[in-house]
Amino acid sequence: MSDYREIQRCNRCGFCQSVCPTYGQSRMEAQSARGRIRLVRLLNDGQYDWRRDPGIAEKVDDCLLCRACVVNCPASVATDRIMLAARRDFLEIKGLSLFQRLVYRGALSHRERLERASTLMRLYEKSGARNILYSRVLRRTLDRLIYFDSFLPAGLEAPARGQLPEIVRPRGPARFKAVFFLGCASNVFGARTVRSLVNYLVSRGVELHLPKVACCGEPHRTTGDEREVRRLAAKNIPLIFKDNFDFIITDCSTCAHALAHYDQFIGEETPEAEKVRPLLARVKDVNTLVVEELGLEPDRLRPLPATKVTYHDSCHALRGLGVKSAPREIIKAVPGLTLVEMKAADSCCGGAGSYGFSHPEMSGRIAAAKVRNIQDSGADTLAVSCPACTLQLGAGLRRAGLELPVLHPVELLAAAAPTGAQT
Amino acid sequence: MKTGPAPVYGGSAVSGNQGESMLNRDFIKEAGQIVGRDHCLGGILDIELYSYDSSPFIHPPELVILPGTVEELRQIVRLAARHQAPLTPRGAGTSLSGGAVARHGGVVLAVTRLNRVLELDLLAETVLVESGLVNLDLQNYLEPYGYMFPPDPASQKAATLAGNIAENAGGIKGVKYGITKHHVLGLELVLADGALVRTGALAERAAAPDSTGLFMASEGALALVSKALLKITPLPRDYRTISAVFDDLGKSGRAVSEIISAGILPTALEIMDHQLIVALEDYLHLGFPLDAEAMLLIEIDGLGPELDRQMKAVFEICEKVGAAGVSLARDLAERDQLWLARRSGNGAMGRIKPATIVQDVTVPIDQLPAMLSRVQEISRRHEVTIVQMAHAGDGNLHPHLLYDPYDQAEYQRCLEAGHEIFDDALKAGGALTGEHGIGLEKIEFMDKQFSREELEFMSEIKKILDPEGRLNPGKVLPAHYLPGPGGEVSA
Repeated sequence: MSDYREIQRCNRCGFCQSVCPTYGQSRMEAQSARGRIRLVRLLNDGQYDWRRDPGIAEKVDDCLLCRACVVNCPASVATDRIMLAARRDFLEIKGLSLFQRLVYRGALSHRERLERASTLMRLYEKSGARNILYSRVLRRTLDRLIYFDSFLPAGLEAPARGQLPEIVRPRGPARFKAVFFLGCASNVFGARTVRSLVNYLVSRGVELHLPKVACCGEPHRTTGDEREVRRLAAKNIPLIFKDNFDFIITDCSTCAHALAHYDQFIGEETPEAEKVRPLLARVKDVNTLVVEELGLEPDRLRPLPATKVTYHDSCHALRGLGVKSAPREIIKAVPGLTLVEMKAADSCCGGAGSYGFSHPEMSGRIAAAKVRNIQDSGADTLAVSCPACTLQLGAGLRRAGLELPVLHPVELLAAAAPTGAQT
Repeated sequence: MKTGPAPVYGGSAVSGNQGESMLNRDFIKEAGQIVGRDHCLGGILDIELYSYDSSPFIHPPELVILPGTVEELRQIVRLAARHQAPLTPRGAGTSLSGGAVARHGGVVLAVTRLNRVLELDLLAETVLVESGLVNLDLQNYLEPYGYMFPPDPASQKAATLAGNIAENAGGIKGVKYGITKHHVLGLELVLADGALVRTGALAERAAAPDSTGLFMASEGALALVSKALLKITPLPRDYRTISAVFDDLGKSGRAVSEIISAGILPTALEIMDHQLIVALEDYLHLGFPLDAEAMLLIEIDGLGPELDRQMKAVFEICEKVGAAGVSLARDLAERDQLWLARRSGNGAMGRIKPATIVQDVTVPIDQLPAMLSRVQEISRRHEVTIVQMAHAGDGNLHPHLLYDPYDQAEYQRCLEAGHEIFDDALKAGGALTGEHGIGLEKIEFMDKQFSREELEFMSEIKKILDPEGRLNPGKVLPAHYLPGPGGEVSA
C-alpha cells in the first residue's frame, strides 16, 4: 500500500483518543485511530490477511473519516488516507457488500433512481404508513426501523431538480457566473435549502447554472470503490469546470470538498488530473463566497425575531476546506440573531455519509452526544452547512423530542434579505 | 539476574508463542455476565489492540475486560481471585515504560469506562472522581469553576487519573505545584482479593494512618484504584510565558539552574533541543528558529507586580547566560500554541523515526547542564538519534531514543545508549524515573538505584497486598523480589 509510510509515523502516543468521536463513545481501543492503524499495520506486515481475518475490515469500516485525529496528531498521521487505502484493498479482494451495492452503485450512482426513492418516501409519510411503525404492538420489535424512520423529516419536498431550471439569470447584468452543484442529498432532502440559496444568490446578481450532474463520488470513495469514483468524476468534470464559470458552489460541504479534490478523484498522476488541477480553486464553500465575493451588507438586512443560533462545523467544511469563520460571520451579521457556540462544535455528528445507516448504534450515540451539546448551548436554532449533517442532526433532535429548526447559514441570511432586491 | 523481556517489534503480539492459558471457560463466561459481552473481549484482534501501550513493549493478554461501574470492577477482581487469574490494570494505555501491557498474559483490566466526576466540593476544594477519568477532561470540567488539577503530564489529553496515580505523574507544572502525590487526598481501592478499601480523607476515620502515599507510583502492582479524592487548586490569576533561544543545549540548562537558584519558582521550565524544535515546527508552523540548538519555555504565574519583577529577572538571567533571543508570548493564543507544541513532543517524534524509547531520568538541578551535554555525547558515540526535552525545573530529563523497529542493530545501539544514560544519571545522584515508572523497562536497574534492604521492603509490601503476585505481574521489582508470574519468590 502506498500510504504505508503514513502508518510508520504512528508511534502510539494515544492523543487521537481525545478527539476520536467513536472512541469518545465506546472508550475502547478498537474505536480509536491508534487501534485502527495498528491493525492495518499488522495486515501490511503480513501478520494478518483480509480473507482469514475479515474482522479487520469491520474495524476499518467503523472509522468516520472525520479527520479530527489527523489535525490533532503530533506526527500528522493521515488516518483517513490509511483507512481509505485499506478499504480499497479490501474491496479488491471481497467486492462490494450487498449494502454498498444497493446504496452506492445502485442508488447514489443514478440520480433518477434516487428521485424515484424520494417519491416513495413521501408516499410513505403522507399515507400515514409511518404511524404503523409507532403503534404500540410493533414498537418493541421495530426499534431499528423507528431509528431509520427518524431520518425522514416531516413534509419532505419533491426533489429540488424538478423545481428548478437549469439556468437562472439575475434581472440585471450578472456579477459573475457560477455552477450550483446539486448533490444527491441536497436534491432529495434539501429542496427547501437549495431553493432559498439559489433565490438569494440570483437576487445578489449571480448567474447560476445547475447542470445535470452525477453524484460527486465521495460516498463511493469512502467505500474504496475507486473505479466508480473515477467514472463519476470523469462525468462531472466537463459539466462544471467550464471556462465561462467563475465559481463552483454547493450547499453541501461534502460535495464541495470532493469537487475541490477532483484531481485525486480522477487519479492523481493522470493527464486528466493535470488538466483539472488549476481549475480546482474555483470550487468555493458557499458561505465563503457570500462573505468574500458578495459581501454581507448588514445595513440592508431586515431584523429577524430574536433567535439564538448555534453552528455545527461539518468535517468536510472545517477540516477539509478550512471553513470556520465565514458561516459564523453570516450568522452574526443578521440582525436579531445571536451566535452561541456549543461545546465541541467541531466534532463529527456521526452522520458521515451513510454511516448512520451502516452503523446505526454508534452513529446514534454520537448524534445523541451532539444533541446534548446543542441543548446545553441554549440555542433555539441550529445552523449547518451540509445536508448530510442536517439529516443526521435533524434525526437526532427528533429522537430527543426537540423541535429545533435546522437551517443553512445562507438560508438565515436569505430570510433577512430584502425581497426581490437586486444589486 | 533476569534481564527485561525482549519486546516484539512492530510484529503481531498474538502470533508469538503463548504460555498455557490461565483462564478457563467458566471465568470468561462469568466475566461476560458481569460486564456484558461487548466489554469482555477475547477475539484475536481485540487481543492485538490491548497488547501495546505507548512504550516499545508488546505482549498479548488472553482476555480484555472493561468494567462499566466500580461494582463491576470489584466483581471482576473477585472472580479473578477465585480463578487465580493475573490482572494487568490499564488506563488509556499511554504508559512509556510498558506498565499497561500484560507481560504474562491473563487479563487486561481497562478502566477507561469508569470516567465519571462524582462530587465537586468547592468549599473543601476537592473533587471525587472515578479513576478512568481522563486528566484533560477533569481540567475542562474544573475550568468554569476557576480551578485546576495541577498535575499535567504531557499525555494529559489521553491519560487517565488511574494512570497518573499509578505512575505518580508529574508534568509541566510540577516544578511549582508538585506532582500527583501532592494532590491526592484519598483513594478507594480494590485489593487483590476483591476487598474494597478507602484510604486517607476517604476513610471513615480519617485519623487512621494514611496509607494513600503507598499507592502513589505503585504501578497497579499493589491494588486497583477505583476512585480518587483530589485536591483542586484555583487557576492562577495571571501568568507570563517566555521563550528563550540558545545556540547550545548546555547553556539552556545553565539558565535553568540560575533561575531556580535566584529564588524564582516558575510554573514551568521546559527545555527542547534542536531536533524537537524542527519536528514541532513541521507540525504546528509557529515560526520556531530552525537553527536554534535549544529553546527554553518558561512560565511564571501569580499577581501582576510580583510577576513583572520575576519576568525581568528571567530575561536578565537568560541574556546573561547567552541566550540568542528572549521573548514574551503576546497573548493567550500564542501561549496555548507554545504549550501545545511542548505537549506534542512525544508524538511528534514519529516525524523523525517510527519508534521511540522515552527515558525520564532525573538529576539534581545543578547537574542538569552536564547531564544534557552527556546525553548528547552518548548519542554521538552510539550513533543513535536522541532527541532531548526536559521538565528542566525539577531536573527531569526526557531523552527520546529513536529507532526503526525493523532495524535490530539500531535498536541494540539504542538499548546500550539508554543503559549508559541510566548509569550516568544514578552516578550524578539522580533516579531512574521521574514519572514514567519502572514498568518493564527499568527493572534490571532497580538493583543499582536501591539497596537490598530497600528492595526487600518493597517485596514485603508486595507480598502482603498481593501474595500471589497477580496484580500487574512481572513489573517494577526484579524477579528475585517478586511473587507470582515472572517472579521467583513464593509468598
